[in-house]
Amino acid sequence: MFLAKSTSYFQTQVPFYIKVLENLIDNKDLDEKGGIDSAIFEAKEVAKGNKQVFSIGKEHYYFVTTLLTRYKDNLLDLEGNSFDEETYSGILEILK
Amino acid sequence: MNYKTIEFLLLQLEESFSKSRSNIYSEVKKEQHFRELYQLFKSIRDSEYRRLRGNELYVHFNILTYIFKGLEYLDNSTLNVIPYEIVSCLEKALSDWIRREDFIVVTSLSNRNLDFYFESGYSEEYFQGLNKYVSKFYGTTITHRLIRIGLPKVLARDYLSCVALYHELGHFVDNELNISKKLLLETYKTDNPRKSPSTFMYYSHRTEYFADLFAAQYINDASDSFLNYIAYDEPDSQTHPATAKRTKVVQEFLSNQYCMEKNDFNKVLKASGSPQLSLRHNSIDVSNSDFIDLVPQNLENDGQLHYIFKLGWDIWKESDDNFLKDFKSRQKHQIINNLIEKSISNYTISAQWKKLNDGTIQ
Repeated sequence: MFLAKSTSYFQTQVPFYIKVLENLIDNKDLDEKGGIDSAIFEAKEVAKGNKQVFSIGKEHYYFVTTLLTRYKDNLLDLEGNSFDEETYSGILEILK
Repeated sequence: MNYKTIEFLLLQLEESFSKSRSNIYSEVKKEQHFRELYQLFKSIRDSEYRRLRGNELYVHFNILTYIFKGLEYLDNSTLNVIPYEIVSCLEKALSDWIRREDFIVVTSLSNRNLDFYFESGYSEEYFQGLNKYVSKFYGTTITHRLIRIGLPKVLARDYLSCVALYHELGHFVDNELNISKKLLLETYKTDNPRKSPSTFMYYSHRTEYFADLFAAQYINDASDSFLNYIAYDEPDSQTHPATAKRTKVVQEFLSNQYCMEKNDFNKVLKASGSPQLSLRHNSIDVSNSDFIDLVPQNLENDGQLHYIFKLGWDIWKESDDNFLKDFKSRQKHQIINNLIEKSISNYTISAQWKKLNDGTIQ
């Protein structure tokens, strides 16, 4: 194909997120709670119209946009910037 | 999937590493990347991978595939294979957009003609996830990310055709900064290009326009010249806009007319805190060019370095009437390619030499 490109749509980062969320739910490893909570908070801010889609950061881009498109109603109900096991379990379900 | 899948991949990798062990690379970063991939492979091979279950199997399948891909590109980026001159131009363009120190441009040589591509799939998000995981479980990390560009083996030193690589680098930058993806999300409220035929077409066309404009920043309309040779009058397809539309967008950008596509991309870039699409080349007048004397062009800055491809194309297109008119077609093509290659290498070697004398590099 002329000036072709090959783009993979397979979301290779998903297994890593699943591992992190499973650890958070099981209280096994909380090292990444800060990063995950800040990504959920960013998605919540975009969902509530407090932040532009265009300014979503690249560190958790896939995770944030997955929440925006598949978890939006739940995002609108979230409060604060630290989240609990119930939220992580809900997100885990949509990633699996 | 069970542990036998992982075992199978590990055995394949063992074989690949044994073949790649004698590779000699042109830069330290590639050697380091090879060592880090090998270390990671060894850690997994020597681990209790037979006990892996569920998601852990997918994680490891994923990591081993990443190592495989890395090796494939490193094998095609050794000292005597890598098209050094074009890669050095791409690296200069890259440094306008991202921290060049974090990346290695690697190439894979294809046996298919016109097979230019950028292979995506491993975003910064993936890379961070991978490093956090392997650091925790294997006590090792990978320092650099690869920018994986494919090009046809037979055209690796055909500089008139290699203009396509600026377009491919544009795909990398788009992917890295999520520009077309953000436009898709804003317009169609989805992050999945394959949600419907219209989302796929919208997304694919954004990516092509971005890559075209990205290339035009550096090489003016040289990429269009090549496009018109290989895809003349192509209509719209699901993956690519019609050639005429692509040429029109590039012309609007180059002549500083209203260009909707450029404006859309720049809105996203501005909100992301990234540089804007703008002209990043300095013209060289064909009539005063050193090429007329059949000697390499004395390039004064990076802007002229990128423009050398446009100069080459302009001379090629007029070569039946200009100073090359008495040469045979094959000679014309060879002369232009050689002059472009020598112009680039003179410029890059002089710059390195100057840095050595300045004490900027040891």
